[in-house]
Amino acid sequence: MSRRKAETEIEVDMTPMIDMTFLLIIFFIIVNDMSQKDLEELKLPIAMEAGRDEPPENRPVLNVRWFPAGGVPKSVKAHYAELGIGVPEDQEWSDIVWKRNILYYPFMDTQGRTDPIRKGRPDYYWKLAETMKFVWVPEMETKMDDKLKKILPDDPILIRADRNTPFKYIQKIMEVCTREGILIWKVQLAASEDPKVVDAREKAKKGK
Amino acid sequence: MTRRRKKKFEEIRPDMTPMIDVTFLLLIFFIVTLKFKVLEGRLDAALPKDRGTSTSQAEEIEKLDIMLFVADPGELIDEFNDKGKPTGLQLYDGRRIRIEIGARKWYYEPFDPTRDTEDPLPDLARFLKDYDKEETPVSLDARKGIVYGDVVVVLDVIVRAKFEQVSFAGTFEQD
Repeated sequence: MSRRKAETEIEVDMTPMIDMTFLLIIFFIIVNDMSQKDLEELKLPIAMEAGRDEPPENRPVLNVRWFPAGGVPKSVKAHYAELGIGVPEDQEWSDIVWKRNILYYPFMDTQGRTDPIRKGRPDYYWKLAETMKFVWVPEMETKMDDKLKKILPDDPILIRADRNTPFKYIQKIMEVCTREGILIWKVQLAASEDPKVVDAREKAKKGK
Repeated sequence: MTRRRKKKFEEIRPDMTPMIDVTFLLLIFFIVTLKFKVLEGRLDAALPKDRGTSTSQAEEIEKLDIMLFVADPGELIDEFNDKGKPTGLQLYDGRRIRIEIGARKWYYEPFDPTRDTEDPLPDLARFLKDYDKEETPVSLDARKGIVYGDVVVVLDVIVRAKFEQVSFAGTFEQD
């Protein structure tokens, strides 16, 4: 008899804990906004009248990251490691990220390509151009432009950049947009709303 | 015989441990990847539809060419939040940009933390009022040293003035 008693297991009732855990999981699944996965963490500039962004489906989002002198992006570090030289620290860097893929970084291997607009210059943006041409544009809706007698893509792209990014990097993206076979002409620039302005607007509304 | 009968009444208890393990793993995954929704806005613009950036053909429509220059470059300093903690970001201190339309000039300090909620460029907004917003194309020409934040501020003014055709000039700098 005594032996049997010693063998009886102490069973903890797991059900409430499992219930709780499932509830928590469901909470996090709901709260986790998967549509944000292609937004990199950037400090956007502030605009007073930035329209609320309701992202259309399949809109490509380009993230332009900028690294002030002293910080070196991983992609560039990897490139320099390949070459076996030290990375210059006193230089700023920028790269372009789409869905976590780096489409451009300084000194990207051009593989012999040249810029079709600025002839003769190396084309560091070839990967961006090819992504646009073969991935984005085929999926975009097109529309006939009466003035140019050309069929142009009618969907926008969104450019998000750190507020201190030199504008030449964004101009370069725009140049790539105007290349033959791409011709994306709708561009949206991301900005955040000024919290002070939003507050003031709310107050003004209440006052009226 | 007796043993068999006993077996019939035995409860079937599935082992819960692996399920709990997996559930916890999932839970931890979702906690770690959690990213709350940030509100973001956007400013719409358009690029020239014809190919290439060398649109040197003389157009007869009245065009509004806005050029942005850096007046005083300023220097990058670390940014601090309201509580005095570094945010890990940098901003330009003492930096001014110059906005030119024809012979007219405006100056603007982009990241002035003391800026109030008022319009950052009231003079420019007033100047733009007289234009035909639907017909006049605006082109923004950002020169050396201009950063994204500067352009957005000016573009914001243009968009608020309700201009409908905004485009950008190409780069002047070497890669």
